[in-house]
Amino acid sequence: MARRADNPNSPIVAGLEGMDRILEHRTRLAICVLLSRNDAMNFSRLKDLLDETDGSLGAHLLKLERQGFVSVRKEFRDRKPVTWYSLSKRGKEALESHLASLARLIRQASGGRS
Amino acid sequence: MSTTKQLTDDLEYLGGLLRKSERGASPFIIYALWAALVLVGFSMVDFAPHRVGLFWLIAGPLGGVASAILGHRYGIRIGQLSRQEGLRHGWHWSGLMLAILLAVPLGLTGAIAWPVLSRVFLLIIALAYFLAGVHLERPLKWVGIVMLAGYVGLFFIPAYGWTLLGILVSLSLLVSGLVERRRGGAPSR
Repeated sequence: MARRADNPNSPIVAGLEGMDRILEHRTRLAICVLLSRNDAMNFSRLKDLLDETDGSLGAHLLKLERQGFVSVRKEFRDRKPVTWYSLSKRGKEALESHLASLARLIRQASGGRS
Repeated sequence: MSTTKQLTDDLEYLGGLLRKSERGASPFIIYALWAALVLVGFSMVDFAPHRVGLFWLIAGPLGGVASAILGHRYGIRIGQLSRQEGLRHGWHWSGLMLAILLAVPLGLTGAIAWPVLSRVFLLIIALAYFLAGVHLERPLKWVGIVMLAGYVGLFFIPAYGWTLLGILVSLSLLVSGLVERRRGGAPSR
């Protein structure tokens, strides 16, 4: 899913290298960042933090799950279903690559030398 | 909106989200547990000094395990589990217990008299609480400061100083836990 550069010599194209289309959406990127800082988070915690509706958050999580970026575990607590999400190895790699590309892009856009 | 502006906005949003996701202080029940242990353990220095060591030898590690279990249950309840955060707490408090254990031979060998060593323990514990307040959860900083003030106070209080200190530290733990709960940092259990 990572973008391929047509002209690797172009600084902008080089910056885009490693970016993932799935993570270009702010909410999906936020989900992955949150899950990268925690072992697991459940649906309602993610909903509270991201301030999303059930439907919207569910759709984003499904997309990430289908992509293999998050793993899902369902359980019952007090007879209520609880769904836990964790970042998979693939998701972690994609996130790292995406964030590195973002940092590169920002450096280039601001004319950075670091 | 330019790409740079959008990227910067996204990063600011992510930063804010991460701050919002910090779990904050431990649940009130952990504060209450240690308030009870401190009240009993500190008072014993005045009323049953020969049993203080045994009390803390059992209550310290058991309290630590109970706190870990309660912290994990709290994580499940709020829907956020972080092994890394648990380990940070674990290392910090285990370090305190190890430091105290390593100081015990000073008393056993007679290098330092037990009443003096008790005050050294108090200083070690106060420092551990203060640093926990700086690095782990803010309310504990004030508990550490109360302990440090109590350490100084012990020089001036002729009798039942430890009991008084136990009451003060217990109260500071309870107040810190309650204030944090009101702030929305941690629910009651």
